[in-house]
Amino acid sequence: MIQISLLSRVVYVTCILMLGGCGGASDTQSSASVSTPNTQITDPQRKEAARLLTQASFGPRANEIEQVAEFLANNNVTAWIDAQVNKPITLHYPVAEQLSSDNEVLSGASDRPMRMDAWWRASLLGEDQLRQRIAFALSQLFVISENSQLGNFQIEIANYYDLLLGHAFGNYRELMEDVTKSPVMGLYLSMMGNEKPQPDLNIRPDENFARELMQLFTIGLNEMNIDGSLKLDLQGQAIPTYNQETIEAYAHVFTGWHFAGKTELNWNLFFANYDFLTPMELVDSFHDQDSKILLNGYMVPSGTQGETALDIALDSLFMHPNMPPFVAKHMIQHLVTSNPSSEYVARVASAFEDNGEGVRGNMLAVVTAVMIDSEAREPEYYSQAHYGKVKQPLIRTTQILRALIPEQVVVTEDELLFRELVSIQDFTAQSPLGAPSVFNFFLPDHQVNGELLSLGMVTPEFQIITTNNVVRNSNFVAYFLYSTQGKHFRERLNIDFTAYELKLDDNIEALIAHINFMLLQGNMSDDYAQVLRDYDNQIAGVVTENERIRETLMLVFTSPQFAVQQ
Amino acid sequence: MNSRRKFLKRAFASTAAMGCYGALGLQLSAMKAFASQSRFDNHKALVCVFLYGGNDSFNMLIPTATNEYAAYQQTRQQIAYPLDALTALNLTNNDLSSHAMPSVMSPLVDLFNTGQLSIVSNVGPLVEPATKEQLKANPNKLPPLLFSHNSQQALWQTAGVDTQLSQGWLGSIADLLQDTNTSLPMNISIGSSDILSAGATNLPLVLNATGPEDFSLLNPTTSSDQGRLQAHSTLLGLANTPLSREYASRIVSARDNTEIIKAALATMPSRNAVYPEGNSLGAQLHMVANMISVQSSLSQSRQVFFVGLGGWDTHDNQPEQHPALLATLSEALAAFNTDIQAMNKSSDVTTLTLSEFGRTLTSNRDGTDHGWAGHQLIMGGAVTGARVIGHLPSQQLGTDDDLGDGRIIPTTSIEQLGASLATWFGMSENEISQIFPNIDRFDKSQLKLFTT
Repeated sequence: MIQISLLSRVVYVTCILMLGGCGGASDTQSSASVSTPNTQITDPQRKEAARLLTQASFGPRANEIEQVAEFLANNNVTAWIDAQVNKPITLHYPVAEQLSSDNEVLSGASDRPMRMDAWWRASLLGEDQLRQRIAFALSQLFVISENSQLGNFQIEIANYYDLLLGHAFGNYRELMEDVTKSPVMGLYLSMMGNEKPQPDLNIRPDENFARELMQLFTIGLNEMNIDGSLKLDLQGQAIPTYNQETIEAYAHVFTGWHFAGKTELNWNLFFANYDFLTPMELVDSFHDQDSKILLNGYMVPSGTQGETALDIALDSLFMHPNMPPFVAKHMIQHLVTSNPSSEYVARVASAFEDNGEGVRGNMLAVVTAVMIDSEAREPEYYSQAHYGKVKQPLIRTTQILRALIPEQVVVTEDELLFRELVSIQDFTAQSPLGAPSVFNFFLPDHQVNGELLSLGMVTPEFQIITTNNVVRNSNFVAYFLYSTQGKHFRERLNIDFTAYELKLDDNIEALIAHINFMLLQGNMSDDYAQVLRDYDNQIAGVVTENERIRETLMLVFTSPQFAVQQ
Repeated sequence: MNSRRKFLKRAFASTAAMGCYGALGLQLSAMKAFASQSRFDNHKALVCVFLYGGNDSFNMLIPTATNEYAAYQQTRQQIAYPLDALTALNLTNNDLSSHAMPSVMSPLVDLFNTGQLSIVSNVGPLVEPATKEQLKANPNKLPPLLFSHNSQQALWQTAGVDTQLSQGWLGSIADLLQDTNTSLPMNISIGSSDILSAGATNLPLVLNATGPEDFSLLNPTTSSDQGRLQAHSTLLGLANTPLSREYASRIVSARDNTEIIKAALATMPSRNAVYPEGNSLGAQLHMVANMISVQSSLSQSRQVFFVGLGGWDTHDNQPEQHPALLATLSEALAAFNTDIQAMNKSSDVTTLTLSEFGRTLTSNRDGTDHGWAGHQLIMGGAVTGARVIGHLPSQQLGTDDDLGDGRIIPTTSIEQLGASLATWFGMSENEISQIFPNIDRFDKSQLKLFTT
C-alpha cells in the first residue's frame, strides 16, 4: 500500500544564507550581516574562510567562501561561532520519524535509510553546520553503534544523535549524565538491566559501561598533565588512572537502571514496554547500596540513593584532572589537527576548566578555544609539513557534495532525498553511528610505520584508509560523477555544475581558482594547477563543458591533496 | 630492576629505534639479501584469526566428568552450557578427564578428533612466568592495562612488548622475509587490518573479502582511462606533505598490487570450495584460500594472513550470542580446512585464533566480563592434533589460577605461542629473538605444537 499522499506533502526550499553572517532567521536572500560589508576580498581572506569551513563545517557550499571571507574581514572567528550557535538546531529524529511513517513501502525491513536521510539532510543542508559537526565529533567519543542490537532501532538512535546535538555547546557534565541515562547507550554498553551482586550465584555487576565511560568517554587509561602529556612515576612509568577495583566500584554504582517505567516485577522481561526516547529510570531493588570508593577522593556512602550515587560518580570523573585534556585532544584532533602541540592542548583544556566565568565543562568555550587558537589559525603553525590531518572519509564525501549542491534545494518530507547514499559505508568504511565497536572507527593514537612514525605523528584516520579502502574512497567519486545512480542523485539534488560552468565560461583559470578555495583550502600549487590545465586542454575540444567540469573534479576529488586538510 | 620496568624499558628501546627509522630500514634491507623468503624452497602460510572483543574460551572447552561438570555449572550458573548442548572430544592422547565442546562447534570437534586441530590452553600476555602469590605481592609483574580491550589487543599483537607499539609480530616476520623485488607484500589482511600485520618497514596489503577491486575510471587496464590516469598519477607525485605522501603511496600500492593479484588469480585452478553463506569470516578465509592457491604465481614461498571476526564482547545475552559466534567461527574454519585439504596444502598452512582475553568465570547473570588468559585454536596438517596443549585450569573460583572473580592467570605466554609458530614457519632462533624480544624469559621448548 502506497502511503505517500500528495495532500500531506510538504515542500520547502532551503535558502543557503551566509553561514556566518545573519544571526536571525530569514527567508530572503538578504545579505544582512553584523557589520559593514567589505567588497575587497583578498585571496588570504578566502583561504582563511576555506580553512575555517573545512575544519568547522561539513565543507564549504556555493558562495559560502566569499560570504564568510567577507564576514571575517569585519569580524573575528568567535563572532562566526556565536552566529552559528544561535542557529536553530536541525534535529534528526523528527525527520527520520516522519520519513519512516510516510515510507512504509520503501522502508522494507529497516528504517536505516530514513535515519541516514535525516543525517544527510542535516549535515549537508542544515544551517547549523558547526553544531552538526560538533555532534558528529561527539558521536565518535560517546560511541554507540547500529552494529549491535541497536540496528533494530534505527529511528530511535537518531534521537541519540539529537541528544548530542542538543549538548554540542552545553555543559559536558550534563552531556555525560544524559548519555549515561540514555536507554540507547544503556542497551549498547549493557548498563540497562545491570543489577546488584548476588554472591550465591556468582553474579556481580556488569563492568562494561563503567570501564568504557572511564577509558573512552572521560579520563582515559593513564594520568595526564593539563597539556595531555603523560604523568610519570619515579621510575619514569605511566600511571594508570584506575585499577580493577575502581572499575568494580563504578560498576556497582551503575546498577538498577532500566527502561523508564520498568518495575521490579517486569525487570527480567527486558524489552517489555521498551521506550528508547525517555531516559532510563532506577528500580531501587536492583541497585547496590553498599559504599563505594571512587576516584579523585570521591565516595558513595552506604545507603545512598541510586540517583545520588550516579551523580557522585559522574562528578568524580568530571572533576578529574584528566577530563579537560581528554576532551580537548579529542576535539582538536577531530576538527583541526591530529598532532597538536602540548601548549595548544593545554590552552583548550584550560577553557574546559574555566570558561572565563568560573564554569567548568562549557563546550562552547572548548569549541571556541579549539577554533580561535593561533595554532588553528596562524600560517606560522599550519604551514608546517606535519600539520593538519587526513580527513575522515565520510567528511571528504560531505565536502564533495556540499561543494556541488546548488544554493536552492527542494526538500520534501515524504521521500528520501539521499537514497543513493544509504550504503555510504561501502565506499567510506564509515557511516554515522556505524562504528565497528565502542572504540570508534579508529583509535586516536593509531600510528603508521615509516615516515609518519619517524616524525612522531599519530594518524588516526589512516586506520580505515587502508589499501582496499583507498580504492573505494576513490570509487565513490566515479559513482557520484559518472554512474547511473549518481545521475539520478544529481538530478534530484539539482546538481548541474552551473556555478562551475560559469567559471569555465570565463576561462579555465577562473575554474581552477574557484576549485582551489572550494576544495583545496587555497593550497593548490602551481604544478597542480598545471596538471588540471593540461588535462583540460587535452579534452576541451572533445567533450562538453559539463564533462570537462566533471573530469576536472574527478582529478581533484581523487587526489591526495584533497584527502588531507592543513 | 623489577620486571615491570624491564618490560617497559624494552618498549622504550624499541620506540627509540623507531626514531631512526631510516637507519633501521637500511639495516633491514641489507639483511634481506640473505634472509628473504627466497631462501625457502617450500611453501608455508600462517593465518591469524583475531576474535575481537574477548572470546569466553573457557566456555569452548568444558569438563564433563560428573564432579567437574557440577563445579563448572556451580561457577558459571546461567552462562554454563547444558550437557545436552555439548559434543565430546576424543582425548585419548591427553592426560585429561573427559571434556567437550559446545555442539555448535561440531565441525571443529570432528577436526580435533581426526587430528587436524588442537587447543592451546590458558594463553595470555605475561611479563614473566608468575604465580598468583607473586602477582598479588608484586603488581609490577602484571602486564600493563589488563582487561582493557585495545591495550590487550595491542599486547597480543606486539607479543607483549608494549600497548603503544605499532609493530606486530606478523609484521616483524614480513620485515625479515619480504622480497624487495616485488611491490606485493607477503603480509596480507582481509577486510581490515591491525597492528599484528604491520612491520616497521612493511605495511600490510589490505584486500576486500571479494578480492582486489579496480579503481573506477582510473583503471590502468582500461584504455579510455589512460589520459585521466596519467594526470592523476602526476598529482600523486606532487603530494608534498607526509600525510598526502602516505595517502598517495596507498593508492599506488593498491593499484600496482591489484594488477599483480588479478593476474595471479586469473590462473587460479577451479575448486569446489563451499563456504557458509552470510559468514563474514568464511568470506575472508575464502579469499585467503584463493591467495594460497596461487602462491607460486605470486612467487610467495611464505605468506602471512590476518582476518578477524568481531562481536565477542559478550557482556549480555551471552547464552544466545556465544553459541552463534562459535558456530560462525567453526563453520568458517572447517570450510577453510576442507578447501586447503583439497588443494593438498594441509601441511603447509597453519591457522591460529587470537583474542585479547578470556572472560570472567563469574557473570552479571546473562553475560561475562573481561578476563585474562584464554584458549586458542590451532588448525592444520602440520599441527600435533587432538591435543589440549598447556595447563588446563579448573573452572572453579578462588583456585591458584584465579586472580579474582574468575579472571584466570595465563600459564603460556604469547611469546611461547608465537615462537613455536615462527619456528615452524622457518625462522631462525636468532630471528625469533628479534621478533619476540622477551622470549628468553620463558621456556622456549615447552610448546610442542607441530609434528615436525
